[in-house]
Amino acid sequence: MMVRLWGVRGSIPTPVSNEDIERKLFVALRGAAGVDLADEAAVRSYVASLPVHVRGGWGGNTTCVEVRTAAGDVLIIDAGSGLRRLGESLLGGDFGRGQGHAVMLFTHTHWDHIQGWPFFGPLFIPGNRFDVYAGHDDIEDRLRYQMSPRFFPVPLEVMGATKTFHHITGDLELFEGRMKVRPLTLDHPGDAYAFRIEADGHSFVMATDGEYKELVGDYWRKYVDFYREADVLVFDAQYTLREALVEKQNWGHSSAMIGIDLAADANVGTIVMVHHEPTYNDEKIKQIFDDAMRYLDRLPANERPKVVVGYEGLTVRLDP
Amino acid sequence: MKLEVGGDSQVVVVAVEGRIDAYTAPEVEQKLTAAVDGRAVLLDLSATDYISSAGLRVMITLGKRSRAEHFAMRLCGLQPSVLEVFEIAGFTQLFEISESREVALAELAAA
Repeated sequence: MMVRLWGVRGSIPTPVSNEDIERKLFVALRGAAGVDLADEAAVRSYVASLPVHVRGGWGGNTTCVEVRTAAGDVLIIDAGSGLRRLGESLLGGDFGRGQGHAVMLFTHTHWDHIQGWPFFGPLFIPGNRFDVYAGHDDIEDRLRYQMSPRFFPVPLEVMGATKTFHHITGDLELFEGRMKVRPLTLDHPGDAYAFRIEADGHSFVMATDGEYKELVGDYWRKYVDFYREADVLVFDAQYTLREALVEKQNWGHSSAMIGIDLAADANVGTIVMVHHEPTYNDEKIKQIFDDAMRYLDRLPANERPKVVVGYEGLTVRLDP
Repeated sequence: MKLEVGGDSQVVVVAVEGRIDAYTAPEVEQKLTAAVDGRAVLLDLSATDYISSAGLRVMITLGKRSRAEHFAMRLCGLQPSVLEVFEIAGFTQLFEISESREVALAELAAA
């Protein structure tokens, strides 16, 4: 199974500002003392050695995750603005010839999880097939509404691919049984759903847009059980702990510190932090997760999950 | 985790020993809730060697109650590793924290 992140930003697409680019250039150039700038290979090596937030950034596109099985099955979770570039990538294969099939899961339909849908090229090519699943029973209406004339010039009907909409009412078996999906409701305004995906002998949990209103008891254990032993957990870490518990309580998001505690209790292999706060620049996000790593270091070594800060293009491969 | 409640007519002192995490926080919160009676509350964490987000949430809950019911609340004796968690979480600005129980009691008496 392969998991690739195409959008990791929360709430609204967040392009890098000119000021941010200037700052990155400044940091990179200051660090280049001693690098032979006339030597192309040395420069490439130096650039490659820079941390993600300096040589590029965590990414400004909103939520979209691609999952592929060893058999080539394509699962897409959420249609944030990251979906547009995933679409461009897919057009190079079967989807460009009208021969593609994918399953799409929606965690929920807040804007940052659907706004890429109208710009997803493979949907406009007849012959492609999409099975669209959501825990909300009116997913077709919601996507159609987004494309009504008041909000978008092209209606859903113009999308020539075959689209079949499904309401998730329990566990799913997809791709002739090669993938199993289990949903769990997350605390989020209007409800969002986490998905536990089992394929190729591995488990991956997508758990974005979730607040943890209790950090103890049966409430806590419900999530620990759902995340238990997952190879990879993609987790909503939009806020600092103080924001999650105090300033932005009931806004429907979580923090890296809560994620680390959940992952440790559930014996998760790797937790990937996503849904980065749009008002924070790359340096601030780096600082928040540096702090989270200090928190992680306080756990006994054998209880620590691997913690990764999600960025656009991050690809996790789980060998069969 | 062990918890002791003591104090005098002015201050209830709650001392917590061991871990405050997802599995011990409910007992800490329950005993704190029972101990609060309008006197100032001093939470002595000098024997607390670990605190998780669940433990920090207990502090937040008590802090909200202290503001709503107008009683003083103070923490004291945080071990460096516990203090670091408060700092990481940005909680050192939310609470009055004293180095030791003696200092905290003096500060509460002077308040």
